[in-house]
Amino acid sequence: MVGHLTLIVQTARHRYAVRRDDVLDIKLVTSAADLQTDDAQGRPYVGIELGPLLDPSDQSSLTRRRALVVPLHRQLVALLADKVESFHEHARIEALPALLAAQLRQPWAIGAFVLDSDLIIQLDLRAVAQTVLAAQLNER
Amino acid sequence: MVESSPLNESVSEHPDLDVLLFRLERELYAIPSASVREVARYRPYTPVPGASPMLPGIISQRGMILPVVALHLLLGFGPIELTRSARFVIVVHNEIGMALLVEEVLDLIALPASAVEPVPATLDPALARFLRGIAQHEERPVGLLDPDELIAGLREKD
Repeated sequence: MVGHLTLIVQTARHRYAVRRDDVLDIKLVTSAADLQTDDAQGRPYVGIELGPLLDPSDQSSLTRRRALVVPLHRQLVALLADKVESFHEHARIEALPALLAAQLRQPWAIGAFVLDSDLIIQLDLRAVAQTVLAAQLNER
Repeated sequence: MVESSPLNESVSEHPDLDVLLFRLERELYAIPSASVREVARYRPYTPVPGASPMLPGIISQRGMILPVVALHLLLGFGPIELTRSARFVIVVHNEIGMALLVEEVLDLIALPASAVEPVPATLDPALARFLRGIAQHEERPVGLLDPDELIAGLREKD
């Protein structure tokens, strides 16, 4: 599986890869107020920490956050991470083993590749954002 | 009550069955060595968000991305303590690769077919389904795992 531009996103405990095409914008967030105003098109932000959403033990102590903004259904889901670095993909991203992929409880992980001797999971950020919005709807 | 499982034909046709012997939950288990590619030291695996507890993550082993199998959970046991003895048993069976997480790998042994007996009817059916039979090794029972059934079990939604 060869992608185009891939972002490497760092949370407190993990690094993930995401497709640049899934992200509308990358915002610097230093306080909750940064996500309380709508964007230029009047779309509200729904902010959530990416790390604990994927792994409850992945809690960051940083206050300076990077928000990966994913547009969905006239809303903007802002997934907060410690750090984002972009790079042009040079490694082969492989699909997850079929045995594991078929058992996923959430369709968030779509592939993996080795970067600096670490195995990095590639996320479908739109699927993650959809989960966030669905959870928000259920809470209402 | 569960019927005793008949011995697999491959056990009864061949005088010896080469198996990899390992320990899990203080019990001995074995898997046919024909399915075993290698044994690797345990190291932290990469967790996959949204994955099932039985297949919690992946490792890269010689360029292959393999799912980690929490064998203790598949066999119906509770959490295990991972020490320096923990290993990944890298299995490829019917072109499906996986890394079985075990507490300790003991030996590669040849089990005489005569040493393999049907699974006792009193054994928990949740565990019995994964066994081809029970063998004796140095006066200890050894559960002979069936790779086909392990894969079938992992494919079932938990």
